[in-house]
Amino acid sequence: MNNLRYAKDAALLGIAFVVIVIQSSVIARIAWPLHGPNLILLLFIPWVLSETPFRAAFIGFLMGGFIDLAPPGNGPVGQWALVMTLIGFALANYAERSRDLVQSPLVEVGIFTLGALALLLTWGIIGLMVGDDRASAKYFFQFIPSSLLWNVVLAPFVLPVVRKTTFVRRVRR
Amino acid sequence: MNHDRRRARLVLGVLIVVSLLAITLDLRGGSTFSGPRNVLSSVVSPIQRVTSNVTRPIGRFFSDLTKINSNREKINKLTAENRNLRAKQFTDKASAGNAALLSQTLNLAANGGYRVVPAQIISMSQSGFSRTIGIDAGTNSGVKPDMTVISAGGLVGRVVSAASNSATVLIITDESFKVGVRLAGTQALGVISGRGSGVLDLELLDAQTEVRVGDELVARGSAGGKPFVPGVPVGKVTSVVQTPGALTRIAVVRPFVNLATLDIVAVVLSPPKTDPRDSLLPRPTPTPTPTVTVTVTAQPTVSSTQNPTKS
Repeated sequence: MNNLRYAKDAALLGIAFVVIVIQSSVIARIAWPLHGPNLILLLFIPWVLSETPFRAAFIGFLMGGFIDLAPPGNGPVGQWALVMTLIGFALANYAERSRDLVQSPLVEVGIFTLGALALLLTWGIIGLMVGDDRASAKYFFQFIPSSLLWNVVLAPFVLPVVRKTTFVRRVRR
Repeated sequence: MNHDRRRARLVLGVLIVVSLLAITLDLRGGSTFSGPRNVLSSVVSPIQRVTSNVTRPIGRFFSDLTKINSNREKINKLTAENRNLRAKQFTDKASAGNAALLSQTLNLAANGGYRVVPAQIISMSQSGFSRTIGIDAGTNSGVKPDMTVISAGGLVGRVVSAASNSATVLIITDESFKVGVRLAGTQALGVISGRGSGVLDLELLDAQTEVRVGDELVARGSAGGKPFVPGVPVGKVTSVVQTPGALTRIAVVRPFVNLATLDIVAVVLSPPKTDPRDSLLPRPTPTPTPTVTVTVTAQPTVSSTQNPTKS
């Protein structure tokens, strides 16, 4: 059983890495109106919502670390890892306390939106703290709102898929 | 559950510390992470390249979709720009050719001592072997009826009517066109008449005169230089018609001027003080007509000395 679990974890992480690559090589290169959607958030947030805080922190650390190190990452290494560890832990912690998360799609999208907002804001704040030029006013007032808008539009379609993919563990817990 | 919580918090703390450590190390400017970054880059970059290549058409499509309005504007702008540039290129090429033609025409006029006004052909009465042409010089430039019109090669025709800013020229191939000529190098006289085709008829007044293929003809000149000034090259005999017993000799003449590609002409305002005789005939003879095409290059000395006479 444990072997199966690790295999699935590895597979999900592989998918996450592929999504990160797709985000940088495909999505980011399309000239969207405003800024485009963020597939990483659309995968990461529903995933950690169905995980234990312990595992969610690890998932966030690995995904964030991958974003930090993979091209074309150029910010300080560890910035994404830190943000996604924190947010992963916090979201999983919250989800564990409120069991009715998946009862209503509206609540699910709401939680997702808040999670995404928290993640992007935390990234920006840490960026400000470490003097990252990318954490500019444009990032806070233009990138975050438009990115959220796109993600909220896509969330109703993507979230159930991700939830179903990662659901097994939730039942087992 | 409690155990799980504690473990989770511990892990969270460790991971945060690791992240902060990484950030600090990286911000200190060392090359701590260049190794892992390079490794990951060599793994991920090919994948990125492939996905990017595969999905580029889709991405382009969506990009175009989002910029459809500005793209259309851009296309319109570029199309207009392209059209202007094409037109400019065309006129540049044409004016380069015209400059060459003009300098040749003026060269001929200068050699003959003719006082001329240059003009450009602006209309032709009919396609093919047109019989009259319109030029953009008229009485304002001193052009009057019955003036000789020449171009780089030689005789083009004569002015039949002149308005203030334009004039009509009857060209030598017209069937009603007649000009008295002299066989170059001899005193033999003849009359050339147009046939409505590309060649002319030569009628020599003296049947005893020897005419050979290749003989050249110059305009004899009319009294007072009207309608023809003397010495203008007319054409070259291409075949001689044997007419035994006739009073005159007949020959077929090809004009020096290539009427199909005629563009720049000059109207002779006043005849030379002395008859230039045969001096205007094209030399060397193998190329009787300086080909009237845009590829002709002007001789620099000629154009520099002749340009001031323009305008």
